[in-house]
This record gives sequence, C-alpha cells and structure tokens, in this order.
Amino acid sequence: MILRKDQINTNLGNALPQTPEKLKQIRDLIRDYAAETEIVPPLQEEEVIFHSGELIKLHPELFLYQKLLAVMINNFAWQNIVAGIPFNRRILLLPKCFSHADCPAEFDELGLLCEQCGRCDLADIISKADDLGYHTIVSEGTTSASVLLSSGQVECVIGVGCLHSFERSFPLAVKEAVPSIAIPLYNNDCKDSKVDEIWLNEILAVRNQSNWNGWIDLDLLKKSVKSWFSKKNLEEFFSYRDETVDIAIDWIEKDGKRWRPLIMTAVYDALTGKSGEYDETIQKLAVSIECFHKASLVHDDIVDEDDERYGKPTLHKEYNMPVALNVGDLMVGYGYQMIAESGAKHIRNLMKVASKAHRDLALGQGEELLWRSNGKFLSKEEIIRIFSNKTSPAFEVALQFGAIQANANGSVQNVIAEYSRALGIAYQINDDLDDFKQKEIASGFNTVQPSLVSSILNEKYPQKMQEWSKRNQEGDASVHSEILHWEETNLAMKEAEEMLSEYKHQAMRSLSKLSSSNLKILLTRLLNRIVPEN
Amino acid sequence: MSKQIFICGCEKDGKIEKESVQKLKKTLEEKNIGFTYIEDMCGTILKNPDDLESLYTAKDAVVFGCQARAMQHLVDNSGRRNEELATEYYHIDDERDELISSLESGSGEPLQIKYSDDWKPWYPVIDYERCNGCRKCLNFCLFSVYSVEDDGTVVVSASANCKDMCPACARVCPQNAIIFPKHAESPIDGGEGDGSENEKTDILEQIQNDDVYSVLSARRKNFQVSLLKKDQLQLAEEERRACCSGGEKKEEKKEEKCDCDCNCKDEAAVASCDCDCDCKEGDSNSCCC
Repeated sequence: MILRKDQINTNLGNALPQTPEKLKQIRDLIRDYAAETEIVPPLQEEEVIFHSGELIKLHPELFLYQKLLAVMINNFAWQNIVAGIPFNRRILLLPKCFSHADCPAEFDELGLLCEQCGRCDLADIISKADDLGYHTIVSEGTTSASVLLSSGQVECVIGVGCLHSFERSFPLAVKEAVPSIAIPLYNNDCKDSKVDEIWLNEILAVRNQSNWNGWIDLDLLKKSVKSWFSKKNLEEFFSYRDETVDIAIDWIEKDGKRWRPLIMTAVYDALTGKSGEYDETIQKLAVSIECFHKASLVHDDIVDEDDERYGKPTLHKEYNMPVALNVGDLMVGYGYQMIAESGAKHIRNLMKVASKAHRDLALGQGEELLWRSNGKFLSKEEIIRIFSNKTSPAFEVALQFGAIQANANGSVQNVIAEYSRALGIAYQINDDLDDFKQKEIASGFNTVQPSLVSSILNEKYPQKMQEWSKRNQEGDASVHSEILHWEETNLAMKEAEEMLSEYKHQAMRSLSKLSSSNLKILLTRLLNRIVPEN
Repeated sequence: MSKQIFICGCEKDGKIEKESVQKLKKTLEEKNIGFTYIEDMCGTILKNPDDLESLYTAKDAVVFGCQARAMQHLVDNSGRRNEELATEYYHIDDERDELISSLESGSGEPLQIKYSDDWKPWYPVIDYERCNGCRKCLNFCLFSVYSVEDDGTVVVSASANCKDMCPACARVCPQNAIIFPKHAESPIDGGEGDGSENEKTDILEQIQNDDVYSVLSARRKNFQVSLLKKDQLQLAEEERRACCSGGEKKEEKKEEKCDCDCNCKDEAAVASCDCDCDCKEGDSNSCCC
C-alpha cells in the first residue's frame, strides 16, 4: 500500500506574526537583548536555540514564535557583516511560491527565470535587487540553496522563504559559515506567499561605507601559497647548494596539497583583515611548517615500509634508508632555522609551539610503534590519545603560527589548542572510517595502523575479534575483506561515526569563545573542508 | 468481449474539459453502453479507496480521464488492482470512435462514484518504470511526503502533507518519474512532454566547479538574450498574422498623453494649448504637457 492518508503535523513555536509592525517590534526586542550579550557570528545551532530561550524567558508572550526568534537572532548576528559585503557578492534567494498561478516563466535547474510580467510581486523585488547588483535566484524547495551554500564559494546569502525551508538550510549555512539573513514568509503553505516588503527592502539596501574583509577565498589563497614552493623560491630560502639539500628541495617541491601553509596564512589573513600581500616572514614560516611535515612523511614511509607516495617511489626507495633518514633530519633542522631567521616578532613563542608539537608527534608515534610489537587491541581511550598526539600537533602548529604572527592573545591560542585537538581526532576517525568503506582493506591494516573501529569491535565482541586476529596472524588473507561485511562492523562503524560527529561538534563548540568573527568563520569552514561530511 | 468503462471527471480541479466528459457520457448513453463515472479518481483512491472496488476487480477495464500515464500509475500506486488484469487508459480527448463502436451495448445503467471531501487531492504519483530510487525527491521535499521502504523503494507515504499546487519535486526528478495528475503542464501531469525537459543544463555542476558569481552572471545574461529573442518572435508572429488577414496596416499613431494630473489633461484644448489651465508657467503659452 503506497498511498496513505497521514495527517499534517502542527508544531508549536511555528507561528509568525502577521503584521510588519509586530515583526519590527520583535527585531527591536532582539536588538535590546543583544546589547547586553556578546553575539559573535557564526552562531551554532545550540547558541541560536539558547538565545531564543533566553528571549522567551524575558518575553514569555513570544513563545509562539520560537522558530522565528531563532531566525531573527541569527540575522542579527550577521547583520553588520552582511552590511559590509558589496551587493554584487550577495545572492538573493526568492521562493517560487511568490509567483502567480499563471506564471509564464520557464525553469532551469536553479529555478524560475522570471520574465517580469508583473502578475506577481517578484518582478518588483527582482528589479530592485538587479539595480543594486544582486544575483537573484527564484527557487523551488531548497536544492538551489543547498548547492550554493555547500559550494564553499558563496560570500553572502539573503534568503526569503518559509520557516520550513530555513530549518532545512540552516545547518548548511552554519557549516559553511556563510553570512546570511533569512526573511520569513508570512505563510507556510507554498502558495500566494507574502513577505514583509518593508523589512525585505530594508535588508536589501543595507550597506556600510566600508567593506568587510573577513571573507577568505581559500582557492585563491591556495594559488599564492603554492607559488612559494617553487624550486626557485625554495633554493633561495635554503640558500645552500649541496646534493643532500637538492634532494630535500626536490622532495618538498614535488606534490603536496600545502594544507598546513594554507591554514597558517588563512588564519593570519582572518586576524589581520588583509590579504594578497605576503612578506618574506610569512613565506618562511610557511616553508618551515612544510619542512616539518615533509620530514615526518619521509620518516613515516620508512617506519610503515611504504614503497610509494603520490604514485612515486618513496625517498628510501629512490635512494636508500640512511640517505632518507638524513634528509628527514636535514629538513627538521631547516625548519627550525627558517623560524629563527624569519624575522617574525614572536620567535620564542613560535619555537615553543613548534618544538612542543614535534615532541607530541614523536610521543604519539612512539606509542603506536610500541603497540605494533605487542599486537594487542588498544582501548578506545588509547586510540584517541594516539590520534590526538599524531595528528593534532600538525594542525595546531599551522593555526598557531598564523595566530602568533597576527599578534593574537593567549585566549585565542587556547581556543586553537582545543580546536586542533578535536580536529585532529576527527580527521583520524574519518580516515579510519574511510578504510572500512573500501571494498578491500588496505595492507597493514590493524597491524601497522591502530584502528578505532576494530577497537570498538574488540570491546563489544572480544571473542569474534580474537578469532579474527588469530586467523590474521596465521596469514589467512581472506579475513581482511571478511571483516568489512560483518553486521557487527556496521554497528562499530556507526559508533565511530557518532564519535566523529561528537569531536567535530567539540571543535565547533571550542570556537564559541572567540571574539573575532573572521577567525570563527574561517575555522568553521576549515573544519568542514578538512573533515568533510560523508 | 465486454469491457467495463470508467470515466474520471477530475471534478476537484478541472484538469479536463467538462464538455468532453459530457460528450463522452452522452455518446455512451445513446449507445446504451454502461459506464461508471468517477467524480475524482485522485481523491477517491486516497480518501475512500474501497469505493473503487469495481475498478480494481474489473476483468477488462477502459478508463477515460486525464493523461493515460498519470491514471495508470495512480491506480498502480494504490496497489489494489491486480496487474494481470487488462486495463487501458485513454485521455478523454483521444480519438475513440473505433473503440466505442467496438463496445457492447446494453451493458447496464451508468453508475457514479462520488467524492465529497473538501480536500483537493493534490499529491505526487510515482512512475516506477522510470524511478531509479535516487531519493532526490525525498531530500528535496520539505514536508516529508516521501519515505523509503526497507527494500529501498521510494514511496509517497504522506500524500496529505503535499502542498497544493507545488510540483517542485517533479522538477528535480532526473528521471521525470514524478507525476502530479492535476498539474497544468506536460510532462509533470503525466504527458509525454515536448522533450525540452530533458535538455538539462549543467548549471548545478558549473556552480560546484567554477566561480559561482560568474556562473550566475552568465545565467542572467543568457536569459536576457533569450527573452529578447522571444519578444522578437512574438513580434514576428504578430506581423505575420497581420499580413495574412490582409487588413490595411494601420499607421500606429502614438497618442501623446501627458502624465501630469492637472485639470486640462483630457480636454481637447490641450492639443492646441489655448486652455487656461493654471499649469501654464508665467507668460509661456504652452501647458506643462
């Protein structure tokens, strides 16, 4: 039976006052409330819910409008930033349900192509927005909004829609930290929709004299950062010609996503509010971070006995083990030297951060190596500690370097420490989960790399895992792919996924203490890029 | 061979012409061919499905109504009619003389199945011959009209949640598998469409890969150009019509009308400007218009 006659649910808190005056009054109440509370965008969903709860405590008569309050608080948080964004970088999303029943317009995948026939109010709104320079989309449902928001490129969205559609798009807007203002329709039934035009016009025209500089175009920045790793530039920074140095430069120059230098520079840009021009100090710090990273890869490849990286022979395969070990050490030395000679203001602080990270990394690696020789399953807590030690420091160095160079204070550095820890763990859990989503398990699984999913399996089904591990040790290769198909593995993966989202959440929560919205926006976006949603 | 005739009148919407329904009814009555008139099949099949028992069990059924594909999948979606039984669906305006003349006369009195609910039955019907289970509709619909069965089949599980006149999910369906029988346009109404609906641009993909802002600017520009062409086409058609009718082409005289709101506006005197309207400035001899 496919056709059913379910009833429509009506939720409390869904209501909307039906006059512009009342809406204005609520906006004023929020402004008064915000004057006494620090509200730094982007707000997390919990923060928005918290603030709307506080408002209802102050004004109990507003309880009918809980969802509307959440929307309006979020609007308030973004208002100033939106005002600093040029009109031609803003996207106006209008709902198709504005249109007349006899609308002659055609559609493309993004939405309705308004012919401005004048049957409905759309023409009027669109031509106003056009005059200002907006990009306008008239869409049905929330597909267009989702695509735009998740593209990671959109700098600002003004959205008109029903509360339902905002509930859908809000989590995405939060994830991508897109400055946005949402103007709710008076009704939720998808036809003959009306909006408070006074409010809409006010928002559309809102514009500060000065531009907001907080938007960081990560793709563009990546291009600049990559150029610092040209052979010519590296040779200049290394300033010594020798065969070993050449090997090191080649190794650094070839391939690499330059994630860490990118993160560092983005944080620097977010905190200083400028971009485009980078002096030698920043470039040297970026190269030093990459030196540490590339050195750790050389050593990792030796330890893991990997023959290939980026589809090419690893350094100890191309040359030999002693040469590779030595080139790794050389890069570590250069890394520290470059910090020392960078000309940065806070060299001592940079040295402290880099050396602590170096130590933690070795401790994490050490725990893993010692575990390898005993072959026992680790507890979840041990795994998390290894994950945190092995991965978080690399992120932390990059973030802290950017912050320190931008003269950030201790509280920003504390937030970064907390954020990096959660980010590093989330990154590793995600990586571990990816292994389990393959059709076959990679060689060395669970013998070379500790896995959270198998630890969970072992905690829940010790007998099954022991049998598995016994067969594994006896060299029964079939066990590798077999484990992927167990029902139990599925359950363990679910648990790991929950832990993943908890750590992502933790990373997001740590940001609530930041007072710089630019940095808050950047770190929110980075989290999503580094640990993407599956 | 005795076929059982059903006619759906689409009374809750008027998707089909009342005249066509009357004409068909009259023809059948004149020939003394029995039939069952269903006031609104979309409504009855959802609200009072048992009323359609005769349709589900008819050995050899012929159904007249809106788009054949819409009716077929509406009935199939109900899961009540045995698929082994022969069923033919025709649009009420289809050529059907041959069919009707082949029907047996004297097969009984006309019956009527009423639909008396206030609710306008507007909800999607899935064409499972096309649906590939991608779940775009499921994620798209704001009102949880769709859900997924354990075997992965996407189903319309909360029809009543669907918003009147919103066919949005049908537009996002990459297979054009969603039908709203009461929608005005083909292929969303179950018609075959004109093929243009398959010409999907890759704009969504472009947005993900290229610069969003330049993609949006280009989209707007292209659209404006196409509007211009449309205007020209319209003009061309009007001109052609004028030629065919052979009428004298009237010299278009633009009536220059002033848009001020002074007293003299509609007076004939304005033309010569010898009115004594007070909008005349100083000793100038002409009015504001």
